[in-house]
Amino acid sequence: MSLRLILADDEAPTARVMSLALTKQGYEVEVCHDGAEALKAVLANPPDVLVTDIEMPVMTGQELCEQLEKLLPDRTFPVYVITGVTDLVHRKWTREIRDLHFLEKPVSIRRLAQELEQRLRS
Amino acid sequence: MQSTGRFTAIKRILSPDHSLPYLGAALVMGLVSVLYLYFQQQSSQAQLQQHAVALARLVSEYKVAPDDGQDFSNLERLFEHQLMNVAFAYGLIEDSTGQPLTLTATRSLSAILPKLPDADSNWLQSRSLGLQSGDVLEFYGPIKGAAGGPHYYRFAYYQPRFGLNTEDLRVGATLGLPIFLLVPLFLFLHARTARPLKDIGNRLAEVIEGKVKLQHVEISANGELAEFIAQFNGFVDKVQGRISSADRMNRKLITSEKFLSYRAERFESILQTVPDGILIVDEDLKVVFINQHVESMFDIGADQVLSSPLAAWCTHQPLLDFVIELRSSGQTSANKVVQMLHPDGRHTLGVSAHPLFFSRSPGSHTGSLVLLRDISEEIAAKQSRVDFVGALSHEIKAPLNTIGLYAQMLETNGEDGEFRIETHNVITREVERLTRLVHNLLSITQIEMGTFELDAQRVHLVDVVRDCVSVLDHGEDQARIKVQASDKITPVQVDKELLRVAISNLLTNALKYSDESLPVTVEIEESDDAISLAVTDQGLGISEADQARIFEKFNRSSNPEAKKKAGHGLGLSIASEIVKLHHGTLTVESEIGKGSRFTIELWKRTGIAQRSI
Repeated sequence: MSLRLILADDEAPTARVMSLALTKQGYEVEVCHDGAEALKAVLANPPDVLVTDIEMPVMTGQELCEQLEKLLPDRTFPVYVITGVTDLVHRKWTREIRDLHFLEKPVSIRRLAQELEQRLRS
Repeated sequence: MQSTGRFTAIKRILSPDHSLPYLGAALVMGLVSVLYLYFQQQSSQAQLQQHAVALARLVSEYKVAPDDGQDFSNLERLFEHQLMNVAFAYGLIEDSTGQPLTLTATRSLSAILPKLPDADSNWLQSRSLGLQSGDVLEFYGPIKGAAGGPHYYRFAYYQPRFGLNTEDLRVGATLGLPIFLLVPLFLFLHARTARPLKDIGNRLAEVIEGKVKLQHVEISANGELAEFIAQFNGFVDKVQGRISSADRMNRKLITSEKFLSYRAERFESILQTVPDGILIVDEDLKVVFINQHVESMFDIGADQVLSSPLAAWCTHQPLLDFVIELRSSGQTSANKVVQMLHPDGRHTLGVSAHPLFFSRSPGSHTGSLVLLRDISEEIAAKQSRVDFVGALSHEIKAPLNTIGLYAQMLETNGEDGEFRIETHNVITREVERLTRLVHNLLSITQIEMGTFELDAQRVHLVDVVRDCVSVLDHGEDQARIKVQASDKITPVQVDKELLRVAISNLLTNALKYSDESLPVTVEIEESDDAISLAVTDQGLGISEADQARIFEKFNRSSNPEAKKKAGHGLGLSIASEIVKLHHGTLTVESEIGKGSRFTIELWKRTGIAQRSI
């Protein structure tokens, strides 16, 4: 049974190519175009992993994570945040979120696949 | 005038202090005269007495001739001879019955002589008689050897009167003259000595009353008085010297006081004008000075807090701690900066304190100078820059990420022709996006540095707007824009490419910050001297605080809703700079929840000319 992955990114080409790459890796990928959409999808059917961008319209990645922390206190799936910002000041909020990991832009599909493989299959 | 002067002179003489020498002189003169007259009378009396006795002796020794015993002619001649003497009154010979036989008298004698006393007298006797022509001293005695009974002789002299005897007048005058001359001389000398003194006294009185200035006494004198006047004038010189040096000092003092107050006022006005808050405390932390900015920061009046301890009114513990720490540390050149919240709770203050020393004694701490500066803008600018770098980083990394992902996918999916075309398109678009960003960055840098050259052309604004609309990515966006403009609007002289950037930025914002279902209106209007272009949306709206900083570089809205939209805080800044390059204005009107209206106003040629005048 393939693992379910929710991908939230407002950049259409990025979402498309990542979805393509991850599907090739054997994941069942659900693409959302903003945080609100992703939250709805997660609450409806919690995935095995959530991968989200931060800068998004309607609801940002940060707000999505904070909402999840509040709404799903016993969440079991990891969250991967794709960020272009390396400044620690901008990562302060992530200390409050459990099981959160960073993916720095530009994202390496291979590294992401390896990481997910290790974490989810073990 | 003259009579008054004379009257004054008389009064002066008669006044008690002046009349004393004159009275004394008159008294002396009177006394001398009386004494002289008295002694003159006494001596006349004595002379008369002597004369009478001598005459009596001569008469008594007279012998009547023996022939008839009645010839008294010799005696008569003797009496006649006596008439030479002015004092001689009469001389006569009486028989025993009292009948005068001879009478020798001065003409003035016209009286009946009284009889001799009855008693027999054998020797010379005298008595005083009061006759009509004056008092006389009468001498009488018997004539020896006269026939026919005893005969008597009588002769009298006028008593010397108390008074001036004309005969003695010459003697008296000789004696009196020196006295009478000496007294006026004495008075003259006294007056001559006293007058200069009196003059000096009057002069001094006038000086004291302030009527005249102290000056030399110009009085001709000699001897001791001249010496006194010389010394007095020397004293006047000295006093005048003192007075003029005191005057000079006084003028100097007034000048330096004016100068000091001018300097103090100037320094105060400088301290008041300095844009920072200035607070000066002494070594006991009592307030010595605060300027108007500190007054408004803490909402206090300088009058209320001057000379009162800082702790008495300053409730801002960080500031208090800071100043106390500075004093106790004994630092000689501290310039520490701490941040504290402005009492209004909205601004941040940068506080720096500097110990004050007197230049004369560099070792002793005389207080502290505390500078309070509103650094909210600096902090905001810093924050804006951090935000900008974050946004820029996102703007750069997003296309890079996309390009990178496609590149990775080519590795495994390269055989798929469709995917290769997609990859090509995506990469091309993302490169364009990056190029645009870089171009924008360069534009704003060039505009800011003033190295941008306008490529001015005459264009119709409506054409520029249509150009902007046509290059918008999505058809839906293009459809939302409604342009309202008359065809008759005058073309304007602008850099078309630059103005397109500005208008594009306004349109993009309007589309981005309003609901996709709502239209964005562009209105172009013409007045006598300007053409305006307004972009109106019905979107989020901008708060007043955000409006104030909306055209600042790197600035992004504080509205969380607006923050959700991608942006790098450069669009409006660039638009504003471009409009400024065209000598136009870019203004905003907005209300939260109702929308915003940005208006570019460009002056027509005439308008520009008028404005430059």
